[in-house]
Amino acid sequence: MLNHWRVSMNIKYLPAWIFTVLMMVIIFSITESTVSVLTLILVSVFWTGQQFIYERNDLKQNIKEFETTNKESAVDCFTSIADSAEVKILPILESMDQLQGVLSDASNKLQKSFNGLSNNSDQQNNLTLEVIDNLKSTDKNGLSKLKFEIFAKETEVVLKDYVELTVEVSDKSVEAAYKMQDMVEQMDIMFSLLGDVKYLSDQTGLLALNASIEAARAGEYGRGFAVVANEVRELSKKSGDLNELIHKHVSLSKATLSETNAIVGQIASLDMNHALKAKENFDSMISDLDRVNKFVSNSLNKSSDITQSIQTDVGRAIIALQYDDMASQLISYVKLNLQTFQDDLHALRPFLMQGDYETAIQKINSHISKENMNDEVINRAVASTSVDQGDIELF
Amino acid sequence: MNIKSTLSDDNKILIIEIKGKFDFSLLNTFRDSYNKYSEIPNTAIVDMRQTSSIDSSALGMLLNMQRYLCKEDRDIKIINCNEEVNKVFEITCFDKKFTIEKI
Repeated sequence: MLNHWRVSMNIKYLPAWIFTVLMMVIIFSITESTVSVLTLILVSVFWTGQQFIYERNDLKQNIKEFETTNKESAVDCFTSIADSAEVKILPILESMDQLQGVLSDASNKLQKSFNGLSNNSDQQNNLTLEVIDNLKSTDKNGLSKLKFEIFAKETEVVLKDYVELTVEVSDKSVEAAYKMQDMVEQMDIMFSLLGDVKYLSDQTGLLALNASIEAARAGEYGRGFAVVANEVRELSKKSGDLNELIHKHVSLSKATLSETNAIVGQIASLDMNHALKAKENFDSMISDLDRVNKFVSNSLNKSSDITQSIQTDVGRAIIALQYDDMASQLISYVKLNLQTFQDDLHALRPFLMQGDYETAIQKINSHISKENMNDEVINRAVASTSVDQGDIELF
Repeated sequence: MNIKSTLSDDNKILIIEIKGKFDFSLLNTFRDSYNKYSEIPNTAIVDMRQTSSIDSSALGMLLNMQRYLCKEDRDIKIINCNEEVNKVFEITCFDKKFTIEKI
């Protein structure tokens, strides 16, 4: 109530007071009751209207002031935000730079390392292939290059020749032994013949003896005959002696032949055992060599496969290092955004300084909407965040 | 007797069995076992089932027998050799000169 009074004492209500006084005069001058009522109504309407108008104006004024105050405080707020943002953005940008540096450095080192690994693996593989080549040990003619293998083959040939020689020696020896056996048989026939000869000479001796006796009986006339008979006896004795001599020599021959036979027998029976053992050892050595060869060859082939697999893995690793590229780009994007933000804040400053809040707010709004559009575009482009082979997005 | 020699009824197949060691001591007996027949048999079978071992003279004897029986359609089979004898035949390549079988 008191407030209302205070309000109404205000100078702006002067026309209302003047109207009121006027109407009062009219009431007192014209005592017509309807006129009095009408004037009273008019006065209250006037006062209400005046109050309404003033309050409305006041409200408008208040709103305007409020808006301005709000705008002022909003802009002040914005300014302080912009300041603190600018302060915070700087170290972030610095960190981004550092991060890029660290990533790039690490990535370079990794790549160098992997390239080194790849080269070493390559060299290792080449060495392996060389070793395989050497061990396979056949030159372009398919002949063995390995000295040991050549030696082994030659030894095998020598062994074979030796065995063949032994067999041939045996063959010929046995043949010779058979011939000697035939000779022995001939000698036995000779003995038998000699026996016949002895019988003949013995018989001749006996006959001669008889002849001597007959000659003695014949007396004078038989003297010549007795001499002849004697001579014949002498001859037969000599023949007998000769026979014995021949017999002796033939016996000796036979004995010698037997000895020869025994010697030939020894030659024929040359010990095969050494050759057998040698061949056995040799065969097992060759098969061992074969086995080792195969095993080494297999192992080296496996090793070569592993090397290939290393190469593949290294290749994949190097490609995976492309993450650095992507990360770098993402960081650049962040940097760009921050930089743009900073620049925009900076651009607004003059308007804020001048107190041109309208323009400042307009600029802020338009900037925000522009930013929203950009973000949509960028988000669509950076759909994939994984680094798959051949799937790197450049934006 | 170390060597037993039998001729089949039709005089075509001669079987020689050797007992014990087949070495130089059997030289003449072995020859007798195949050359005593008036008609040379077509096939000769040397059965070594009871042969304990052989030495190189045995090889000579076999080769001489082959020469004696020599004719294209005459066949010499050596059968039932033990492991040791087989080894000897193997390294001397006798398996290429004779038919060696295991019956």
